[in-house]
Amino acid sequence: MTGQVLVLAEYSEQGPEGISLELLAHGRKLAGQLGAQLGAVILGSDLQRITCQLGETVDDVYFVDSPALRDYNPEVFARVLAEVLRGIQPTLLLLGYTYKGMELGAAVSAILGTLLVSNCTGIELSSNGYVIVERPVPGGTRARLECAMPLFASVPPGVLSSPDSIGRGHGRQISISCSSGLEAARVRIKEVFQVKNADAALTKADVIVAVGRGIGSANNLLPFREMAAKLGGVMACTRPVLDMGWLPQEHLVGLSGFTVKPKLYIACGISGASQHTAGMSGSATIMAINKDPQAPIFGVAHYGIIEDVMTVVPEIMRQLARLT
Amino acid sequence: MRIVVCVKAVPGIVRTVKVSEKRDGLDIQAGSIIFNESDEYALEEALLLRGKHGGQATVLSMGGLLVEDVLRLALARGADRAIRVAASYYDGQRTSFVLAKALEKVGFDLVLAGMESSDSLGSQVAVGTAARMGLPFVFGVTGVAMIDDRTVSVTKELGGGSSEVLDVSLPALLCIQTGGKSISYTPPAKLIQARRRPIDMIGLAELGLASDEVCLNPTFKIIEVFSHRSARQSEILSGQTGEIARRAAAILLEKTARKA
Repeated sequence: MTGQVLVLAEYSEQGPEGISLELLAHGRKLAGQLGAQLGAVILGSDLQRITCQLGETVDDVYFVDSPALRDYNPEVFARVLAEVLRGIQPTLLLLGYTYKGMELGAAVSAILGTLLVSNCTGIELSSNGYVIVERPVPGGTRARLECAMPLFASVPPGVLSSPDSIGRGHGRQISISCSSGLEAARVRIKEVFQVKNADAALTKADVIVAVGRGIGSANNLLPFREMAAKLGGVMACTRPVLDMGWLPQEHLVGLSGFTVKPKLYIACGISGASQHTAGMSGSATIMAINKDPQAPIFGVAHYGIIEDVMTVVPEIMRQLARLT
Repeated sequence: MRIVVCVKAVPGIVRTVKVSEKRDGLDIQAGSIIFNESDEYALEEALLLRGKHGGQATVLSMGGLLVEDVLRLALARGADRAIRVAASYYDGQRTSFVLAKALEKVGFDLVLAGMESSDSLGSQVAVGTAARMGLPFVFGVTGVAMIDDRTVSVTKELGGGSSEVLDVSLPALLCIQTGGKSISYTPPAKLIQARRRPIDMIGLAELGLASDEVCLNPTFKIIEVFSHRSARQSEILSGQTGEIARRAAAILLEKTARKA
């Protein structure tokens, strides 16, 4: 076996993050095709439990376990990760298109001079030894790129299928010590805080009615509030809606907000950029309403309605009233 | 304090997208060219900092002549100086390579940039540029305040409703999230005035780069651009609005188990 497909594993107290499991499952497939090992790389402190968990699924777990890595400091993590990658020389590094993956991927790509293709919606191997990646481009289209290895690629959560199992590995535990570069001299964490009202209303809801910029104005929120009330659901929004002050932060779904998996998610006037879909693509049923037939939201929705949202939603409300 | 804001001119309405002749980029036919959204917030943050603490706010953009429209808008908003770097690449690697050289030439205490451009959707140029220059960087910034000449206090969004406050030593690069401040109004008279303001240009030669030095890099080629409606076969409800609404209502009731 030659080469290494490596996944930068993100984790919480509950274990590996969903995105990391998705990447490991996909990485296992690619490693099989390449005849390469599947590895996970993890940085932090008190990593014993998580490295054991990862060891059950991969061939090699590379970890840097240091009290200096207890808090996530991007500059320090980037420096350490670059050092680790320099040693492993992976054929392919997979990262989440998450806040951490975005900043660490960009930093190590620049430090090591390896191409990073970010925000990928597909990663496959070609028969002639290249990696074929897909990523969004403006105008509701995607581009397919042929890339030489070594390559770094990041994928948003929820794009690759959620794995039942990743397969078994030998689980070799490889501790890497970093003696220098751990001091966080230039960026110092002072305080971490939660936004007000950031309770779990959104993450526990069975039904979510989400609005995007396409609703046009804060004055247009009423029919969506009524729809949420009628279906026993709660309201959510995209980043632009928050930025314009139409709804407060506790309603934000996406990479910079909450990740939700309701039984029913109704996306109203939402184009479906990966920043938003990363937080909702795991919903059991998604209905999308958008007048732009090219909107990427139709790529994740189960049901699509290509209509002006302000016209069709009051009509749906009338029908709901008639049927119940 | 010398603040440089990296801004990008992006297509507003996209008409067509094609693979470029060299297959290392995209030719986008756009109905309009606009200020990239998160860069607008980066400029706002810079202007607020300069207003409070003095100094100079410079805007810098990479691209062809078209980006000068956006640079003039930045001048109208209050930027002191505008610089166009005459180069343009699809990938973050070459972009950050050239941008780092340009920033070193211009000089700065603080670099602000948006988190993501709406055309590349990559979120990698700003952090990549900082990493190349060995600068401390913070991504997802929703607020910046000066502590003293050499330190800023930065609020960074972590997602899931939490944020953190960091002290960052200057020089540094911060990637600004949208929505942190409201964008201030630009009087039309300022827009007219800005039309006559000069824009400095930096070419690759002035950065000590031969164009082939930058182009050595691409280890990729773009094969094709395609529509992706089929990713998850969404069932499109079609017909008259009334009919669509009837179907939609029935589906919603079925999925919420509130059957008629």
